[in-house]
Amino acid sequence: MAELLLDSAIRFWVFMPIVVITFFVGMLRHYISIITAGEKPVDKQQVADSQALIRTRILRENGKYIPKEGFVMRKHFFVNEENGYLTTQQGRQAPIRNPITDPTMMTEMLKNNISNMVPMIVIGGVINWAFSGFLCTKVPFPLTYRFKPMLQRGVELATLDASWLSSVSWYAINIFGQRGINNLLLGENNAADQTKMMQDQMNMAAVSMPQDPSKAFKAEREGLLVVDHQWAFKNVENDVMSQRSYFRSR
Amino acid sequence: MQSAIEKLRKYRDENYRAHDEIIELWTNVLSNRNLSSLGDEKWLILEQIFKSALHCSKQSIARQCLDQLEKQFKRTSRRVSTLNAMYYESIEEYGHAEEIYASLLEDNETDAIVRKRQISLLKEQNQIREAISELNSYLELYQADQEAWSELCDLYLTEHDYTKATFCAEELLLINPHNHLNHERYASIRYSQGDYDKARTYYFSTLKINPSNIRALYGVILTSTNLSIKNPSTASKTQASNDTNQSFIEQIQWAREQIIQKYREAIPDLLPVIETAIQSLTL
Repeated sequence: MAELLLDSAIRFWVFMPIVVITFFVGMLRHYISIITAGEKPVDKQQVADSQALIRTRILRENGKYIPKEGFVMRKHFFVNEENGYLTTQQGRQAPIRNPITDPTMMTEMLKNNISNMVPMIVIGGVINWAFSGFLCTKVPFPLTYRFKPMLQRGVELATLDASWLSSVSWYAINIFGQRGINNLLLGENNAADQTKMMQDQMNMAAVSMPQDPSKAFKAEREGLLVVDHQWAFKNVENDVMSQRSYFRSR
Repeated sequence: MQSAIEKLRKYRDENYRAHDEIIELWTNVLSNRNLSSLGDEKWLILEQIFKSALHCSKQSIARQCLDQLEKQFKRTSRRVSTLNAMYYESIEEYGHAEEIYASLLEDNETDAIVRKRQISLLKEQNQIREAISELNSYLELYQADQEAWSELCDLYLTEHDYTKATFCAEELLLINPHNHLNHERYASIRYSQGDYDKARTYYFSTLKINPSNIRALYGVILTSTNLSIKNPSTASKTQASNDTNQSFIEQIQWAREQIIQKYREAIPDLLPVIETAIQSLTL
């Protein structure tokens, strides 16, 4: 295992500049996104849907605190066969938001892509061009042979340990690793946070339930149908008196 | 001055209701100084002072703050327009305020704050029925808005419509089941309706959550008294009803002792007053 010693000039002129560049570009992206972010108009239907779902949820959870008549009345309002709120809304078709044809979503996607992907690609390319041909750093754990072409772009040495990285891979590590620093300095929800954006794309269950209210309504209806009313205050008088008398007589 | 700023910030964050103090802070400390050193916080403070001034009916102070805000943010800002309309409300130019709210709503139909201000406008002009119907249509959209349910409950109570007020109070119970004040309000509404049984149960649930709620203790005394009157124990009645009467009497005794004990701990001087009061309440 060759114990390679890198030139200390690499430390000053490559390693740290890449960290600094990534950080400042991230901050720049964050502020630009704040400036260019338009106000999203809230859809009335979405608001109504999400509020209704909140109400059915609290009915299910806290139904035992109100008398039986109140609970039954509300349950009937929601799940009734002919005109219950959930049954009628369930049949409503959610408008399919095709991203290509819907103009507002298109511009939003375009803006997102431009502000996030393009700087990353451009700067990645610049770093690849400027800092290629030498090793930048080494990861402290051993990697397999498969990682070599990915992580050692400019340096094609067959015998080189896969743990050694080129500058581009160091740049990539910085992009993902600086999420913590960005959170500290710019607060949560900052636009420089790539992983959050990718996570959002994976689970589209937004708070305002944009995509499929009918499924959510169906689930809520079935949940509500199953719930039985157990009044929590059947014996509350005896409970309270025995509790307080106990404390008093001490 | 720094401590004043911090105090204002704390009141803003924790939604405190100390309007007199805020106005005092303003008049003594802040109005003479130049607030530009605070940067963006200056506008938040101005808005806060404006709202407190409206609460305390100090229209001149409110006008000053509003002028500064309008100078900075022009007429196009929605937030400043809302504040402007609130100022018109306070000087009783209701038509003007209504115009502003209507135009704001045209721009953005889902603005909850503007809708609620419209409803309070109706309430100010004593048009309770219209306020109730507007609030109902608001609640059809925003079904989980606790403030709105609470306001609707109050409006129904002014109209003495106890069944509908019960419904609203139940909604509040659903949203916040562990708030002892919600239980107590529900119990009191039930008591006004004459449903002493439910009222008693909910006074007890209030006590379960907060054993120091004196109103609930009085409520227990009153409801148990009323129930035992309706249920007179004679020899010919069944054993069960005699038992229930006995338990009522026990509960009255127990509640009475709780009240006396609490007053003894807090203000012993009032004890004789309390004793006579309780005497008159019970049989």
